[in-house]
Amino acid sequence: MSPTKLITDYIADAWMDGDADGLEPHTPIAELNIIDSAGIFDLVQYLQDEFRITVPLREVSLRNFRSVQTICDLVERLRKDEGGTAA
Amino acid sequence: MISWTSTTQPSRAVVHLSSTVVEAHADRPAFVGTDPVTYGEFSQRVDLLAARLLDLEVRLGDRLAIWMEKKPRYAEAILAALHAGCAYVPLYGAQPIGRVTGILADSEPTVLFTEPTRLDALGRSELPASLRAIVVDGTEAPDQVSGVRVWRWADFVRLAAGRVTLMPTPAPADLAAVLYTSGSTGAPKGVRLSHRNLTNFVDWARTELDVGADDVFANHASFNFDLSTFDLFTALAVGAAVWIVGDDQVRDVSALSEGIREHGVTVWYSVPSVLNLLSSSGCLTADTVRSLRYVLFAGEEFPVPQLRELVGRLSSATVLYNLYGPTETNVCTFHRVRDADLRREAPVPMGTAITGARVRVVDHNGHTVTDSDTIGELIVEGECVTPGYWRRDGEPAAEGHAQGRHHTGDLVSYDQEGLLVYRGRRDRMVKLSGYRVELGEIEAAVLEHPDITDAAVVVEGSGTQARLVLYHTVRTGADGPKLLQIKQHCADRLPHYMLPHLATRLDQLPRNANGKTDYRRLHRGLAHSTSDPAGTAR
Repeated sequence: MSPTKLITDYIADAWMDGDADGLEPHTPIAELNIIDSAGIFDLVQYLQDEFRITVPLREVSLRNFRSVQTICDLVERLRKDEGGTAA
Repeated sequence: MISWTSTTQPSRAVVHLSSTVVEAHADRPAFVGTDPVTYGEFSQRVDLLAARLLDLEVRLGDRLAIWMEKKPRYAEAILAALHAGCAYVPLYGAQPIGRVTGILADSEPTVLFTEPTRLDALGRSELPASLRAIVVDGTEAPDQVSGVRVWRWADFVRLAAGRVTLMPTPAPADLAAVLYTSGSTGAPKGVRLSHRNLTNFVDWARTELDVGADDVFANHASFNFDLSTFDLFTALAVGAAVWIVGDDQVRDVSALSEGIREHGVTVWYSVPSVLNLLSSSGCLTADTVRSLRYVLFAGEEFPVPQLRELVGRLSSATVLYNLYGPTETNVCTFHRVRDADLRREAPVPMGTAITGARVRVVDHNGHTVTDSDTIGELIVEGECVTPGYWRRDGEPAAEGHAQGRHHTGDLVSYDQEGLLVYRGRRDRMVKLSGYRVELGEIEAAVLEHPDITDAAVVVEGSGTQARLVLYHTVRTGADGPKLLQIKQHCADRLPHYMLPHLATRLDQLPRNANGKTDYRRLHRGLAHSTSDPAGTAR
């Protein structure tokens, strides 16, 4: 499954009771109060487990968690930084 | 300074930047951060701006609205408004345009301070006839919008250079600010704050806390939030520096911890949820917390286990305070956190009244409670109480305000030591991450959706797990909006923290015997049950 799909599904299950109709890669998830700042830390935990990456604290900001797309970009970047193969 | 109870000038109980403070600290920073400003520079800028406001013939009590991102210039506009005898109306930076125009229409400001992008967004809306000028912080601006003269900030103040202007002298009872907060009927309501309200609070803070020109205050709260009055006015009163936390940094733990380190923050005041974010993220290293002398929190309950974790990460010399008070009274009670408070499971007490406030607990029969553990509503009287809402005489609390009294709607009791303890709410106002939210305002916004016929919003879960859950019914024949569509609809009307987290569609909402929505039966277990008379969730 693509990272986009995995992350979208995770957000839908964890914060939207599964009702994620219309949740697109560019949907502003923070602006729409889908994920708040406390929720970001749960999401970080998920990303670290699912993609076997380490998300440094300085990357845990709304800038990187604005949308599914920006989260995917972050995952991609961290995978490369860690020398793994990008999916 | 923000002087008031000065013994030499007892009548000057008004909030202003004192020339004594400015002279003593002219070369020291008033603001640190991205756009640092010394007291000397700040005072000069405030004077020029205030002089130009008087050119517009603003009068005592006029409202001046500020809709900008958080930065020293925001504070400049606040102080200039006060020096010109006007009240500042601070608008939360990140809120939908409809809510902004609603507040502008309600407050009828004479001047609006804003930025080019925000002005663009406003250009398509109707502006109040009261507006005489819009002052824009930026280089790109049209000459006018909807017939109102638009000035670039630099051009506006340039015309005041070299002039000496006699500033008006507001009285302590005069209006200093109107802070808009969530309103139960759908529109935000303005809480009026007098100079006396603010000076009483800052006087108390200066007496209770040992702060001076060497301190660095973090201004975390938005300026529309009463917490900000502590950071800004207490710091300026003692010649301390203020680090204004930018809008994009307020929930960014690495930016916050970096700022504390870089600026050597000594006084921190925020809602507990932000402190909890900081401590649970692990970024409060010994290196970061070293400079902190005071950590104050208010706005919601701080769960003791989380508070314990925070204290474990702070230096043992850091003093913590729990402050309490709705916008209508600003801070009216306080409690200095003791080791013993951390060993118990009971929430930290709200404590006792600040100077200038008198508090009473009144039970449901209207009798004043004096014994411990009897729950009643907290009633506040004294210098801290707002003179009333802005043009909302019909509000239930308005009658009390006219008599110098605020019925908080908060249920409290005395503990064995005679300290006040929070026990819950009487009505439908809730606190989410420290934001004050009237559930009725969310319902009113939801009901503007053409397909939605009935709506009820409740909070499920507590603390950081609290979620706004909407139950709604839809027009016969309509498909009904999905969760994301409801969120988008609401995002055009409400700030992000008021958007429902979840939505459940019902055939009808449960009613009590009086035909009113029965909120107690609206928890998810019942609503999802097909056997429940409330109807079937779909």
